[in-house]
Amino acid sequence: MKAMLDDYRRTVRRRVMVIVLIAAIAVAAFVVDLVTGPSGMGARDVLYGIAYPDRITPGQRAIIWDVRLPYAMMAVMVGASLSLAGAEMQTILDNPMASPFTLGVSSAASFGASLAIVLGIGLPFAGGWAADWMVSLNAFLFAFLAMLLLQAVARQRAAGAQTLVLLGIALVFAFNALTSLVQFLSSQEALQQLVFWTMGSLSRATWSNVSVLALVLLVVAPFSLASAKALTALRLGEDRAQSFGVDVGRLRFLSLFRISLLAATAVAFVGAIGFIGLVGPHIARMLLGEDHRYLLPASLFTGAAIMSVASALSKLLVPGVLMPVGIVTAMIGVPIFLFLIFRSGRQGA
Amino acid sequence: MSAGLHVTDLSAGYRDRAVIEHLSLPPIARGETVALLGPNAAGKSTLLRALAGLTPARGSIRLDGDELNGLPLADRAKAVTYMPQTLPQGIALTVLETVIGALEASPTGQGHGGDAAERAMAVLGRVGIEALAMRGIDQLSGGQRQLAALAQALVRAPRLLLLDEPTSALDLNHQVRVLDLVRSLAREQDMIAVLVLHDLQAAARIADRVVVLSEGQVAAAGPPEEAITPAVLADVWRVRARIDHCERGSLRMVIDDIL
Repeated sequence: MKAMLDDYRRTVRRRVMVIVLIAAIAVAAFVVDLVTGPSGMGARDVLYGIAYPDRITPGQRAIIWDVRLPYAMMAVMVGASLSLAGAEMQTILDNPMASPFTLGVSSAASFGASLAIVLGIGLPFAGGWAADWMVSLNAFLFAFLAMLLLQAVARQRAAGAQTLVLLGIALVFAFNALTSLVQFLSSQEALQQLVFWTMGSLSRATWSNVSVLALVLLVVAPFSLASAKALTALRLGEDRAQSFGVDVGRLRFLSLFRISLLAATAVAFVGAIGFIGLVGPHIARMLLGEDHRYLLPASLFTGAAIMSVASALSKLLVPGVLMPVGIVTAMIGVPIFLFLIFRSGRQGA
Repeated sequence: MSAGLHVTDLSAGYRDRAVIEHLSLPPIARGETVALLGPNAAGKSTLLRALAGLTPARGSIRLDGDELNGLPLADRAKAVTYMPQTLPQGIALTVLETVIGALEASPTGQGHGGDAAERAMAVLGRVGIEALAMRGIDQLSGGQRQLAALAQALVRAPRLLLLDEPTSALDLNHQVRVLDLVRSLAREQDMIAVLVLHDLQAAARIADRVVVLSEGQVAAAGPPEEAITPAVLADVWRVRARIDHCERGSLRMVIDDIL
């Protein structure tokens, strides 16, 4: 018994170390992302410009403070938000394929954005500051609406995880069809803008929307972590978790609410970036298992790291061209994912 | 009010159809093991789930004098634990982690004395799978999984343990092992164990008392030798059978015919 307990405690220590390591990788990836770019400024210049903003030229200051930093921060926040949302979603829906994409959140956001871009339909008070935010606000609104619809279904006592997943799939198809309709009706110019939006890009990052997303993450993440034990128990089955005192209906409701906020906000600012919400939690799970006290923070940092690497690569792949990060995310995510799947397959785990 | 489980005038089922109606059970004392028997759709699982609070019910379920019906899940979970037939597949947790997870899912009735990992290990030792503690739960055999599930339920130190067909997927050796363990744990920890079983011989072997359900009503109840009789088998299961109750806990049954 003593030996087993020591073994367990070593495992716990190892898990904490792995989380610290992933966090360190995320920080390193953030720095690499920050110093990468087409302006020709080296790493030293960028770091110097951050430390002493008043000792560099206004042009350099603009690149570092208005482009590099908000982009890199946005990559971190979006990766962390989508990955954390995906981890919770996979558990509450008991479905490893679940992600903010699977449930139609991104499709709804795309539709909302398309209405704003193509038809100029937005919130009634879309004047002044709101005009700049119209596309994002509309995307958020629709993403959140999709989640509210799922919420309404989840609240029905009889509706289990399966029903939610099916409804989510239905929402994906419905919103995709509606977006296609809007595309069909739109002008050439608007179409191009819309296609660019749906690819997912960090180029809309500003200090103000980075701050909004950071705030959402900062508020939501502690509540996620506070539910970690209940989420772990839910992995043992819904009935069992209930009999261990977990109010599964309430857990699912609040969890979906957190997921809505994270995913809708992230998608509203950067467009449809898929895959992070799916692959981030999977990588974290393969490394650490499903004790959510470790899985949730690990997912958050894994998502941030992947997104930062993807962002850096999006600037490097074609010199001088900033590729939409959504394309790169899948390009680097898939190989990592396949590597881990085959590796864990060989171990028979 | 006296100690033990008192179920009176209990009705439960689906929204549009009651499965059990106005059902009362004879009082069950602490430390007793009770088998719920009956054909398919007799209401065994509904009764068990109603006792667990998983299916809404009307009526009274008193445990040691406290009314359980209508208690919030978290409060009920301090006294009652329910063990479904099987654990889900594809869980990336070690055996020990699942037991710790069960313990920490919500506060238990017994104050959380000592370290969670130590308590979980002690329970794994009691069910005899200490050596599997650090194994992935998905790597276990069916019998080992069921023992792990039992450990998850036991670690919460329930006063009432409810098991839904705990042995339906197990080989003979593990069937006996799990059932005997449940009975000795019930006695040892002064806990009431209520099991849904299909195997009458297994029920006779471990139960202090059996309750035979038929169409949502109690058709027979009492010690196995009194409640499992040719008349009850004919009446409830529609089979003609000869039964020898050889000694305490041993039952020999020959089925002759379907009625």
